[in-house]
Amino acid sequence: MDGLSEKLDIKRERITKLLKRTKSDKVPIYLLNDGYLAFYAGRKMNEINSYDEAMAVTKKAFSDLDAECGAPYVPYNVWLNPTFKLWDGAVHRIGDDGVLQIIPSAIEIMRPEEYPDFIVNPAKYLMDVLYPRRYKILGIPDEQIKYEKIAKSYELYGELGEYMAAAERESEVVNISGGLVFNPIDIIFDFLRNFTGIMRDVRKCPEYLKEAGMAMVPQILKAMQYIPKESFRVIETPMHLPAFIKPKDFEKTYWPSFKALSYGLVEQGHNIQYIFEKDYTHLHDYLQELPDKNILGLFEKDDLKTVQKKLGKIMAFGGGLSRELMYSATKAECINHTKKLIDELGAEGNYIIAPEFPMMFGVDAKPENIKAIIDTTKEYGIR
Amino acid sequence: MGNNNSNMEILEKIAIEMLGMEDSNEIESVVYSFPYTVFIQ
Repeated sequence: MDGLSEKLDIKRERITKLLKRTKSDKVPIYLLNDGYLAFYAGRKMNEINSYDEAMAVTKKAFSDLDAECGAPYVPYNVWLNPTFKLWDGAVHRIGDDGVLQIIPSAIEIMRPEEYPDFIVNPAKYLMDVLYPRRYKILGIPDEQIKYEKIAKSYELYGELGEYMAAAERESEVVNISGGLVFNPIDIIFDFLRNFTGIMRDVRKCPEYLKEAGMAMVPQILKAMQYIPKESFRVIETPMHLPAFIKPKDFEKTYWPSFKALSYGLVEQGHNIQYIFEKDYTHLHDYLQELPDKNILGLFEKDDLKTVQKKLGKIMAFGGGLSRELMYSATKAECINHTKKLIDELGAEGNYIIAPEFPMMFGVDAKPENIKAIIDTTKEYGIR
Repeated sequence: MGNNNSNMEILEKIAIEMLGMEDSNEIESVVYSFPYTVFIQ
């Protein structure tokens, strides 16, 4: 058991079996949480200023919310705020309430005529041309100072990793995330071109978009090759652009590099968790061509019975808990809904109960409702 | 350290000097992690 508690070891085994789409002793539940733990523990996010406080929040919330997996509370004030100061720029900022916010005006740092140069060596073009437009640290003339600031931000990243590992051990809830990587076209969408820009590129220069995505794949795979592979961890990939484009445009632009990266990561031995934000029903035929192992798909709007029928032999899948249910329904309605999910989807070993969205705010779930849902899986989800 | 290095070369120095890496594949992995997994905030 590698010094772990028996409880954590059992949970890891359940997640391992889920990712192999093999029946285990119970239907697992995934508390897809991002900030919600602070609310649950009665703290304000902007008042949590140390890893010790973050650990206390995580342990307090998870002592009640005894799910198989979820994320320890991440104190942005401790990690991201100092990182943003070192970089002197970012796409995000920490709001007064402590919540991570996007800065829309900071996204578009690439012009469409730059695709040919980008495609030659995307990583070098990002670091030497595009990112210095946003992260002023990368344009500092004194290279010793630049070196020290980049190194310091890397150290902060390492400290976060140490905290996350300790929080998993102490809270006895599996932190399923072993890393975060965006699909290539979503890197261009989310960090280089923004919505209007990429929609223009989809129409005007789909070949450039496709080539840019494919040029990034081998470099991303090199970045991921030494990330530890564990049977119960996943590389998280939030999916953004596909929900906004037609299948024919998806096939021409997004799909080639998405598929290539997916096969590459699985070949390296990684599990992948795709977060299919909004509705992916129009793309299920493509998703059937993904690797038929090592994948967990979390769905927001898709009908889960259809997902199980069309994709259940390709990937494990999660979802089923809406904000309306978790916040507005009664505790009894939450319990009944959880039982229904287990009855309808839990028989094959490929389903994990999860919120349809990352939980951030108090309005995402009443504490008594989310606790009742998790407890129901312990009582009713036993096979 | 000179003044005209590519930022990629600085990342390589971090991998070698700060992280003590010697294997070229591991160094390359750290270098590519910056544009794709670190500087995405």
